[in-house]
Amino acid sequence: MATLISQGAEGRLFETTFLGKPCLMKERFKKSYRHPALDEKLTNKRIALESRALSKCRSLGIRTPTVYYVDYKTNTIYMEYMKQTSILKDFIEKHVESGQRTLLLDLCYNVGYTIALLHNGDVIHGDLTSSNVLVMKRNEKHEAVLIDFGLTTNSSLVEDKGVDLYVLEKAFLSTHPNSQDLFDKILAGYCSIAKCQKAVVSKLC
Amino acid sequence: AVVSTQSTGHYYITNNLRMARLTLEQHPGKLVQYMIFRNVRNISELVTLLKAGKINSVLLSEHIVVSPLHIAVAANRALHNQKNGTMKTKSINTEIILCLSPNNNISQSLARLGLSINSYNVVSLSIADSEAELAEKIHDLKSKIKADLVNDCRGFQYDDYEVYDVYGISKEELSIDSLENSVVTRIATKV
Repeated sequence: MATLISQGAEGRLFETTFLGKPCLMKERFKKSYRHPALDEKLTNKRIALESRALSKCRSLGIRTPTVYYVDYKTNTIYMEYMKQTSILKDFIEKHVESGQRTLLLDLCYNVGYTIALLHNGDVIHGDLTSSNVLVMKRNEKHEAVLIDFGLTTNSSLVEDKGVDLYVLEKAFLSTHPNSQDLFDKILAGYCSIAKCQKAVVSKLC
Repeated sequence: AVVSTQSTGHYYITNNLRMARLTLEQHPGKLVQYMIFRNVRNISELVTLLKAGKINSVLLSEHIVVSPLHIAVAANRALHNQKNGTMKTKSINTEIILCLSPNNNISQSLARLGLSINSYNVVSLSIADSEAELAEKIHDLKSKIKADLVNDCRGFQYDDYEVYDVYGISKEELSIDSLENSVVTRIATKV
């Protein structure tokens, strides 16, 4: 019993339940233009990468959805459907007009802090945009939840971490006009605990 | 009756709370039921029976079972493995124990998560395709396990430090989410 939530280029999202709890099914498409053996290997690798990253993030202290089951046959990940969250992109759009700038700034600081935790663990997200960050309210504070780890890699190179932030900067500033102060706050949060932050940030300039 | 637990937010059908049935949506034909037995008096006999293959249910040590979701995630994966013919062990019961483990070492998993002479509380898990088969398994367990069946099986008495140790859960991890979610993610994403 699954209902389709959305369909993208890479796959589909369904809503279902797992032991009665709201559950998200993330199914990756088979690419018919690829050779089937190659496609199977690639898609399996992607999904293995994603599930491993979801687990690694937790041990680094980053909130991500709980994983319930990974189906390598249908390339589907069953995970916690965090209904109490909203996408960062929508959250910013909703609050940017309402004069709650401090709320947004604090949140952006937390986003940067969370990305720093990721990079300190030598994990490169690979697709950092405001659509891949969720906002969760916990103990009166808004916190960042990272999702969509299909393009993660492991790297200790400052270059790769810089690129990760660069992608976020470009996507962020084009999606949210006049948000330089918000992005600066993300960087501030990032620099507060990132190792070799000077080197990474210098790559951005 | 459908019971909803406030703390965890999920529900499962229970028969007077002494036995809990887990509804695994991905395996509609399967009946999955667990019970908790405390102060087991014949542990060495049970270990012998298990080794002889005379018990057709899963017997776990309660001290590393965190919640019903913990068991459900392992059972769900094991049942998929059975359906796909990709089980790494010889029976669904040992497969469930392997799926509960943070690694793929079968003997280590059975030793650490299954029953041992040092276990004092036991969690039993029975999988059946029909009510009759399930009733038979439950009856078998009740006759073989000399212990006290708990009256409310919604809460497990697990050993925090043992769980942190077995699953490698760090302090940072515990500050962001529940132990249950951390353990479940570990076993679900194990390759």
